[in-house]
Amino acid sequence: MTLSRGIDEVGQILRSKMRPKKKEKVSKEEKKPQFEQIQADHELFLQAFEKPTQIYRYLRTRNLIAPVFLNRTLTYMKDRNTRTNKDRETFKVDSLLEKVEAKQNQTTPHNYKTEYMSFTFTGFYDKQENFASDTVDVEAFLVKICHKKRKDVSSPVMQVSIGTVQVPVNPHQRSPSKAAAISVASEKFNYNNGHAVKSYMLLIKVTVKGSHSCNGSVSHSPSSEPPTKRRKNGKVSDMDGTELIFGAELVIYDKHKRCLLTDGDYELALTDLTSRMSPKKQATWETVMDGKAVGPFEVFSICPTLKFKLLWSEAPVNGPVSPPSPLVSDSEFLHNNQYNDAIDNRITSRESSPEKKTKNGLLPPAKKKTRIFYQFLYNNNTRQQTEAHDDLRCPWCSINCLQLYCLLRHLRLCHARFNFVFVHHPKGAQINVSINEGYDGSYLGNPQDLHSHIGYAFCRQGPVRRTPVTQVLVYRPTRPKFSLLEFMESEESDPHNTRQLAQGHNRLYYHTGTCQPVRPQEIDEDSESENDPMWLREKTIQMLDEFTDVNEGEKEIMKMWNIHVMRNNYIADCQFTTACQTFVAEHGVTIVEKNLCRNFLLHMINLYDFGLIKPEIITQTMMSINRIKDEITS
Amino acid sequence: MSDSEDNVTVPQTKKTRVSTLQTEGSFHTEGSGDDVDETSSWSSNVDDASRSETPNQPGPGKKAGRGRRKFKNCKLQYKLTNYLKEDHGQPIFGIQFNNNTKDGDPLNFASVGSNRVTVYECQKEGKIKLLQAYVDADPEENFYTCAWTYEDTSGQPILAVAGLRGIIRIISPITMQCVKHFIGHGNAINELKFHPRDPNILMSVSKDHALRLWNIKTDICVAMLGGVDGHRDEVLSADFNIDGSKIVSCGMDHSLKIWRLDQPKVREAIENSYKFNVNKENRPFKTVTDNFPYFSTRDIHRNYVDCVRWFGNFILSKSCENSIVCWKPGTLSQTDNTVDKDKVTVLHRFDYRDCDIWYMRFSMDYWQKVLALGNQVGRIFVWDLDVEDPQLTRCTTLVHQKCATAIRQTHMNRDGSIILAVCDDATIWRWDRIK
Repeated sequence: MTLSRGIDEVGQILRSKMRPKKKEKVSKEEKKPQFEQIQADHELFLQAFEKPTQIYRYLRTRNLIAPVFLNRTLTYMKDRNTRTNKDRETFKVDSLLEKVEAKQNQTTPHNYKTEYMSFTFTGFYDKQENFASDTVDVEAFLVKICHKKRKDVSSPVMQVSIGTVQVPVNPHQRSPSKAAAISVASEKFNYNNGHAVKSYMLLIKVTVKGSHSCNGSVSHSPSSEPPTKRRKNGKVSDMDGTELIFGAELVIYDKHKRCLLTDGDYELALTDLTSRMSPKKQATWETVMDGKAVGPFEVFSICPTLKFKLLWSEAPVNGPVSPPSPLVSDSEFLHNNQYNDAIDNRITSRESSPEKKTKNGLLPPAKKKTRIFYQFLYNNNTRQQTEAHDDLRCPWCSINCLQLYCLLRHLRLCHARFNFVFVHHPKGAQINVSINEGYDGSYLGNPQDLHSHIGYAFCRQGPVRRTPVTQVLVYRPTRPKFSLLEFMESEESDPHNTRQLAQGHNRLYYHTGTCQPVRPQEIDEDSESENDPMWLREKTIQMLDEFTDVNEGEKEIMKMWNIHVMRNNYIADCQFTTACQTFVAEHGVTIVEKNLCRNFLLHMINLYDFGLIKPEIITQTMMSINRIKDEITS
Repeated sequence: MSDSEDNVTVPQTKKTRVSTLQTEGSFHTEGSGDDVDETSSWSSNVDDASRSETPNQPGPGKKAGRGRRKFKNCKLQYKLTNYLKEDHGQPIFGIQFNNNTKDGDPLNFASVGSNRVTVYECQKEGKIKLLQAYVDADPEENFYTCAWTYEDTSGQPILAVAGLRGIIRIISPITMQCVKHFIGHGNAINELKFHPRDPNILMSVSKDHALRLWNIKTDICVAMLGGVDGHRDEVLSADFNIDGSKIVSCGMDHSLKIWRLDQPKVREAIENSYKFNVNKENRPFKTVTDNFPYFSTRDIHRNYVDCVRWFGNFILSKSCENSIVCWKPGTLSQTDNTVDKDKVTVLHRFDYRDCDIWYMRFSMDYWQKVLALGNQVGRIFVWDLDVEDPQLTRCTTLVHQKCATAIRQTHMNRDGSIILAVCDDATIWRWDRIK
């Protein structure tokens, strides 16, 4: 039984709690009934390992879907990195193009024909109309419909003009004197701008130069009617001055990269692109009846047509061309999905190269199979269960660690809820697993990350503005040589782990008033600074107003004085001399203006009566009041 | 019982919101008396027997239209069309229709209870369709209240929920995510309301004795209402008046307080909250605190005041004293600005029975023509307010045998044609009006 299966079973039993566990070590001295004892023992085992296993199971799945880090980038997992940087030394920027071209040349022969595709246009036929000019312009475009990339809303379409030629209108004789031709090079059927092209289409546009009809009839009123009215059913009844554009599309390569446009003579029914008729509206269901004319089949007699001959030149063509099978897409699919196999292949190849390991000096000489015994200790290390494992995969996240050292390092760092102690074992290696009682599950990072972006913490939707925080991103200490010794003792604390990763204020504060988190940039703002908040002043005034045995003047002085004392925080008796002086300096004018000098004098005398100020302070303050009075009156 | 406050008995279920159910003897006879259709509505005013059982009522000549009722020509008749039970089995405390929709839009509502938020659609012929369900990660969370608003740019609906943990969560049913959350309240949040004219301004009412206004667009706590002259205990309910210039709040301190939002400092704070850019400012937004309500009274109720709503310039409020009181600040003739600060005028009392536990909320339809309240034995009292004289209001009682636990909240759609009620046993009841 492998350990991963054992862990699996833990999970299952956690759910059902019905089945007894399989093999367990039973102390022989115990005289209890076998079954009961096994069950009780199993309960203890579950109690200890249930929760952490569940957590690591969950994390494993989450890391598969949205990895927080890549294992291959870890220092101790170097061997998982299958990419070497050997090429970097010889790399030159100029070689990029060559490489890409070489790659394309390799792939294209499978996809597309190598020959030139050439059209020879024999003529433009339209039975209904008389045209003034005897040639029309035919322009051919190559339309590339690309595969949709993730960010694209719709498939990107690229249109490349191939060429324009003049084609005779309604040539009567079979042998045209001059045949216009366009040819397309095979390079055009290539990957484009990083977009993989899904299919190629040929778009043909025929522009009929609008000249007056030459039959000289005067019954048509040339331009009194708007042109839209004269066109019914998308057909043209008159050609006066307007340019007419007909068009048609042909698929060259479909999405399986099969060539649909083979050699032959083509007669292409053209539709009027200037009219706004959508093709869907023209489509109708028809019944074939007694050889009567059926609409869709009559299209060639109604619509203008363009005749051309298509030839894939530079090669003799006889007989039908068999469509190429979609070879490349298969291999591409394989290429994308061979990751796991590739990794495992490399794993085996590395394991079988012993000289490498001896060079590193990490491992005891490689055997074909490393057997690892996991010893689960629980119930205060008084009970144990052993499970053997034949490979170096982590039992919790089934990642292949390739080497024993890596496995141990991984277990210690990624599964810190357990303690792992390495013990030499005659048949391989033994790892003692016990519960880490001192595990600190609290958040280690900067709490600002959790709180400062209200509502956006860990937003994965897109870019978010973040608060700048100094964090250690790259850390290169002098590392001791990897050695299995560091896993032998559990008591020693690992010097690598005690590293602070977020610098500065690693603590979250809250505003006093609003209880909202203090953002880093607000940290200098003291929200408790004022000692006479507005409400307190207001309340003081309200309460003084409620007195009925005090006259209005006294109330005014009391309010001013109380607020003054409150603001400057005068708390000691010795401060009252200063309080009086600052009070006059600040409120002297108001006192004089409101005619409260006598009330103020009474207040000073009160202070003297209570032994708070000396008598000379009274005279001093009153003198300064009088001075203010004189200034105002003068 | 005397009127002095010391003698007022505190309801036994004060500290826990969960009521102990006592089935009343008469309940079954009423339910079974209707043999033809077990779901029925019967109309009556509150009878005299129950009135005598509530000695607290001063009853200054307010006899609530006694003897005037006619059994047959009552306007309001409702029929139970559906009920459902949520699987958590915990009390559902809040239910709200999304009344921000246009005619023809699907009629959605949300229910909150335990750590769940559930969104349903009310369909024709009594059908209720489950649309979405959200579960808070914290199993300890217990949502008490929810409120609907819309994004002012896109018009998409937004649901705000809050509860025991004091965290306001903003859920977008379109993206099916909790898009924002606001922390700051020191304790549980008992009610959420959106400003009637500004869809971004959210009011939260908390156990921490204060109310807060939030700007959910810019994530700012705009104002805090409370402090030295604010509530002295949990605030349980609050309501904006029709133009959003005033808030009335009530709570466990038996008091009702009116706060003015049209005073300059609050108005400016709301304006500034739109201009304030959190990312560019290096200081926090200056949250306004208002310690002094414009009006405050403790004369209406003698117990916890757990629900309050504006009714024009009047106020409807209830305590656990089996009566919804319609009153106004000041004397009857006084207008808004000249209110006598220590006088209140009680205009009418809507009396009912078996509703003396707290955290029971009444509701009105958008046009304030129908008033509905559930009681602790599962009955719903519906009053037709569309009368000239409050004395003439008639009460319809909606009864169903299976609905026998406390109805925490009722809510009506815009025209009052559907009443939804949520119970302590995690059930939701839908009553449709019979035309």
